[in-house]
Amino acid sequence: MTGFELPVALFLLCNLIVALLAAARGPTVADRMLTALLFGSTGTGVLVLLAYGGAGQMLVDVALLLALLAAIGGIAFARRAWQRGRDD
Amino acid sequence: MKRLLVVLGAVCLIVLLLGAMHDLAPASVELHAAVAANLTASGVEHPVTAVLLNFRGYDTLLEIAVLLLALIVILAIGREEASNAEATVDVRLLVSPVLQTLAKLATPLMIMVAFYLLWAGSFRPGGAFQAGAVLAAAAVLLHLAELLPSWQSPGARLRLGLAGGFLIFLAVGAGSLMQGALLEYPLEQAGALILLIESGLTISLGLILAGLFLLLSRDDGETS
Amino acid sequence: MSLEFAFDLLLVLTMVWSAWRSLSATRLDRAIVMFIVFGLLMALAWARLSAPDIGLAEAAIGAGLTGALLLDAYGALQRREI
Repeated sequence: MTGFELPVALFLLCNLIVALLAAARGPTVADRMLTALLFGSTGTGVLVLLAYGGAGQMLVDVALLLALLAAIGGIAFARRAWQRGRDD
Repeated sequence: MKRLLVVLGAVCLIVLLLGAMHDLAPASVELHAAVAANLTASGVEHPVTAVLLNFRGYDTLLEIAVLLLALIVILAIGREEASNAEATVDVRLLVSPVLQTLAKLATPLMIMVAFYLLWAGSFRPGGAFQAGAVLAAAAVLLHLAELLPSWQSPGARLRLGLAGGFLIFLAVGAGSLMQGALLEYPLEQAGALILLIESGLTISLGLILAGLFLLLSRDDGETS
Repeated sequence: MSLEFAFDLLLVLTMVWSAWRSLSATRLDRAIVMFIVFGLLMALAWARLSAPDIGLAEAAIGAGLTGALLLDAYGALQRREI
């Protein structure tokens, strides 16, 4: 713990807020889904930072799980919900 | 006007709830202390697992029963529609090799993480439900990569796997009922019994949660 | 205002906003994407509430299963309409 964890986590959360605005703006659904994937990877970073910032090593497990599973939503979107050439 | 009324009602509710939260009496039973005092008798070292599988074991028993029931309902509905979904195109050629390689690389990792979570459940956060969810996610990933076909008609082995966790739990419950009280484990075997139940629950929960996806999926994803 | 409080406040605001966007979206696909985002933020919130058990469950279910299930259901609905 160096004292930098929480400020960096806060910075990443601010990044996520910008990403949320982008996800709300669009323009296509594929854009929105890509921004949603950003939440998975940035969330992993935030969780690891929180874990080393004093919240306990158990959060590393949560981060591991998020890193492992976050891609599935994107794959499901590309394989099942997205039809090429039918953008809004 | 209508919208104003709705917002006004919501604000009133928020104020009421905040007031109620302020007036809450302190908890009359110190559950924290009770769990901590009895933790040594539970057979596990993590308080959440001790509560879920020992102190309040029947809640978990009913939980897995409800999930199993949900899957049985899906089986009943899915069967009805299976007849008019015969158009099975061979989509295997259309799957990108990147996705298949990812699925092949990630699945062993997911299975390993699932067993890690199951094992970790006895002394740190983790447990059967989380492990089962990871197993189910691995199955969903394999199915999305067309490496695992959807379950059009589950065979006897799959049905046994789906019900197995519940049956093991029920058997342990019945055994403990004969010994004394429902799901009250003898002190020296408590750890082993909890691990047995959790292992069964992990497999069954993984299959049930995967079944929610794979039983209804029709394999006609990339038709456009 | 400490850093922890700022973090929690921002997290709560983000969650409420994404939940609102998910509920008020006029199109199903947008609502689903916002719901996935909400689930990931929820895992962060459980982590902040020092409930890693629920955080693990939320991360596994929210990231691995619910999103895929909802998107698959949406795709099936789309194909039925055509």
